[in-house]
Amino acid sequence: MAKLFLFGIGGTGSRVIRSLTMLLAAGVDLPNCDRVVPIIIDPDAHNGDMNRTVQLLQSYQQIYKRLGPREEGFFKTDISTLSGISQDVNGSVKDTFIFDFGGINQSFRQYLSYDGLSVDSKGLVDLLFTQDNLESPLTIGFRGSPNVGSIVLNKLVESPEMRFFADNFQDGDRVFFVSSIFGGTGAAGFPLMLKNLKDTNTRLSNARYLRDAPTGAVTVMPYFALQSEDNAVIDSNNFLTKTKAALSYYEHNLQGLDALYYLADTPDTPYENQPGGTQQKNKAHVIELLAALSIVDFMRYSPAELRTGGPHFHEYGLQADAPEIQFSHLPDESREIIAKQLTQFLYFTRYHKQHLPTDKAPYADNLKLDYAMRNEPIFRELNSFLHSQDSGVDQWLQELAQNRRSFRPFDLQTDDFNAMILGKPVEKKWNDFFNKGLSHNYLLDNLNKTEKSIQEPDNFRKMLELFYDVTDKAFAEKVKVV
Amino acid sequence: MRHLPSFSRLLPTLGLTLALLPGCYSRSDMKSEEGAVEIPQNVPPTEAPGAVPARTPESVATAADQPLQAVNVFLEVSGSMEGFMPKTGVGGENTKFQQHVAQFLSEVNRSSAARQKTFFRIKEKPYKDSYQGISGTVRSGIQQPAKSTDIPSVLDTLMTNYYRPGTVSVLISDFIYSPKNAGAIPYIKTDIADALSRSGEKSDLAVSVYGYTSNFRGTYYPALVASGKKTNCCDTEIPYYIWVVGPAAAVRQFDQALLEKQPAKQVHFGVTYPQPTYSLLNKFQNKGSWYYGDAGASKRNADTYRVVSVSEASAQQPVEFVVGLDLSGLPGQYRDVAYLKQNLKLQGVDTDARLLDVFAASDQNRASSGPESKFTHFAKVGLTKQPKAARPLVLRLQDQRPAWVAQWTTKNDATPAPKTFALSSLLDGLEQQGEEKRSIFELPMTLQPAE
Amino acid sequence: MKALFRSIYEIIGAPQPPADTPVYRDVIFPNIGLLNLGISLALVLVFYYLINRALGVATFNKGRHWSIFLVLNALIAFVVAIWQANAQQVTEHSYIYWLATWNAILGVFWFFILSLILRKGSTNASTTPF
Repeated sequence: MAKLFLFGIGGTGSRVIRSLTMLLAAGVDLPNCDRVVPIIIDPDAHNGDMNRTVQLLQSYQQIYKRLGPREEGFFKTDISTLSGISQDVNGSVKDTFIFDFGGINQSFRQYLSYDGLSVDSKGLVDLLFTQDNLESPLTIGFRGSPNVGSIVLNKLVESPEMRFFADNFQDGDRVFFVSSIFGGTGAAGFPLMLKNLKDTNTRLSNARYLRDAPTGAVTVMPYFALQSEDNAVIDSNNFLTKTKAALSYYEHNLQGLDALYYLADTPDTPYENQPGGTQQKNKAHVIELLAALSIVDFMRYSPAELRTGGPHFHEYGLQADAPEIQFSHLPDESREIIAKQLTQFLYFTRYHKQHLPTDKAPYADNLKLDYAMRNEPIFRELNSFLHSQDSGVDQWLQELAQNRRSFRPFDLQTDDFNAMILGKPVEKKWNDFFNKGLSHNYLLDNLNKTEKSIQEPDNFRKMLELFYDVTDKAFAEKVKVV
Repeated sequence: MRHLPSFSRLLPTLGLTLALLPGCYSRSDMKSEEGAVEIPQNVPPTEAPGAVPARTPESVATAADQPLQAVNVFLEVSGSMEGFMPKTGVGGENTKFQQHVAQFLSEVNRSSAARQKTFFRIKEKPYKDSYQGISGTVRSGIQQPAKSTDIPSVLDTLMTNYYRPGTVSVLISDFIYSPKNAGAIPYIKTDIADALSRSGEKSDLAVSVYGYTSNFRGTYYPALVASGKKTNCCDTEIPYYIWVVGPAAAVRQFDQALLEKQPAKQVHFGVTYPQPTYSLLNKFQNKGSWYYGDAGASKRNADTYRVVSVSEASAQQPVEFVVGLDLSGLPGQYRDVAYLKQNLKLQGVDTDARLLDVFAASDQNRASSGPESKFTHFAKVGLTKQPKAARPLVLRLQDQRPAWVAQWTTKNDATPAPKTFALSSLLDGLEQQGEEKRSIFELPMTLQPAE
Repeated sequence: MKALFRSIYEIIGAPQPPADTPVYRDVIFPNIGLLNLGISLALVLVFYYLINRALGVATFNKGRHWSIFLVLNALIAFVVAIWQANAQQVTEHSYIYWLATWNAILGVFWFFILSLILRKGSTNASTTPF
């Protein structure tokens, strides 16, 4: 039962975990691991990105619980909360994907008990922090201030969650950190977390396992800009400065890391400047998808490979500098990992929306879809996972396609399955009398045909297996390669 | 010629197709057979109107019979026959007898119906003669009339010397039987019967009697001698007869071949006839709810249907059906509609079925494409009661002495007339003694309730 | 066999005119009975196994498509009965049309029964008509 503990730090962490969740839902294989345990570390409890990621993870978790482990298929990899990994939860750890900061609705000044400090200490604090830093409430995160973050996050090690994590850490488990280098929470949190886990003098249990565990991280460097506002807390013009400072720190202080992935892009359109809270809900970006891919890449290495000659550093380059990325612009390796799976998942999602509710066919009758889609909670859960306005797959793909730089491998407007992969339309053969490429008829026929051959009493499991098989066949027969 | 091989290659396919066809329930195969039969039936329009066109299997078989072994023709040349065969007069006129008998003799002589033909003149006993001789006698008249011979002796001679299988004796005479005295008259019948059986009882003995009349020029000898002969007779025609005597089968064969064509009064004794072809007709003047109950009635392979299945019959909804009869194998006497109306009887059990009508086929019937075209006569049967179970129903034609016999019979032939003395009594002697009168035919059918 | 078809077809009454009863019982009833079964079976096979399986047509499986075949079957059954009656040269009678109508109803019945039996083997119409 090898696990991957995935620490997503800050807003970027949430967004990358969202992308990874989508990849796992699409059935992308995550080797050397049976279960992913995402831990989102973000003091901003109302962060929009985080909330919809959590929502997505919960949906995924529900769906996976029903599906169980399989050789292949959509939702193949287990995603679990931290408390979900062990039976003996002593009640101190909540069943959530979010690291519990215990509700710090204090200002930084209060957090430090600034007023009770000695004069010398006060002097030091004043030297390190601006008055702004001290007065700002911690509920919305560290707002691009790593100096604040580092103080608060250092305390995490003593939290019950960290102890629970360490207690349940086993040989073979891996740790991966996702953070941005230019923000507040991520930039400060990642080195701190790493340092504490790998500390030889740690008070945490299983210290040896922790120290020896394959550990990776992706650090997202600036890839967007924020609209400049005079009195905004976060100024994207500082991003590069902060990045440089952080990198120089990383250069010497990242002990115990086996692989480090760097990702960056040149910013294009600035985002609206929202320092935090529910308004910080950024459109999914291809950089997050690539960051998620770095996790997959990390998992594809065996522990032996990681240990020899480490730490390994990775950067990412596109096949071509295209403003709209299609599958053909991805390097072969990435394309191999995601193209087929994403296409299958897209077909499923589109079919689920376009035809499933109206299909009057044997497969639908046998699955009792009519009733199930309306009444069974798990079917509604899937529906929201796929089509939720906020966190659904549709939305995610839309966002990726709309962002700059955009990831647009699919034509999301068309109803024609043949034209869904941009730049790679399905060829319709003249002799394909009744099955014009990927016609509704073709899919329907295969759904009916395949449905008969699947021996599975549970209709939800059966439906997902059915669609995985049919889209797999459709891809193999009609798309072949992208 | 180049097309031939390709056609022959098609043949197996064709054969296969044909072989497969009867796999389905069908009547088409029967129909083609039927067509083959029908065509020759329609062919001979050369026959005179009234002639029976149909050849039933039985009559065809008869024609294909072996010809008769022998025919012995006996012509009476006694004085009483002289008036039929007067010496040729100045005017060269002759009698109907001469005309008829000369032609008959010629036909017999030429006929292929018998292998051996022998001609005799009967004087006190038969004298063999040649055809030319006897024909000459008929034509140029009797030169030396013989003494009259009595009929029983002649019959006795015929039965004793000339009765053989496949052989018939033909006796041409006026058959005026003169008993010794008036007291012998009541024994004529017995005398004849005795004469026929003197040389031993012949179980298959049959006699056909054909009656003709002819003008008569000469001396008329009445049977009753007392009334005296009349010279230069007569103003009226006098009857003469042709008797055909022999085994039943031979007589029938000879009748059929040589005598049936001529219009004549006739009466038959002991002659048996093959059962005529007959069948129910379900689409000919039928009425009410009934159908063929024969097994396989739907197939038209059977030309004949014998079972009537009645679904429903009541006074309000009577059932009527017609039985087609092919009587072409019977002598004209039995084909006569008047005779049939009187003597065709219907016998049933537990039924009120009765004969409604008997009629001969019209030209229209014969020209029809339906099965009725094969029959010469029709008997229509009606019933108003539903049969309770399968019961026999028989059409029987009784053998009844025809009316003309009584009309041609006289008890006193002193006055020349177209009548013969004691003809009835003579013929009574031909009746088989002690035997029930046989039917000419019996046609069994079955009447049953519908399943 | 003949008895079976006879009992089926005489539900609507005895053949008319009565004189043709043997032809109906011995030839026409078994013929149209077998043909009817055969045609219904053929249409069911075409619908369920040819169109909705072998040809891979998945959008011709609705109740209305099935109904088209049902009606087609009825029409063929009607025509077959009249054709058989004519082929066997039975007397023209209104009974022929009653028989044809009854045959059409029977055709519908067979089609329905055979549909229920055989639909499971179909890919795209295994739940048609319901």
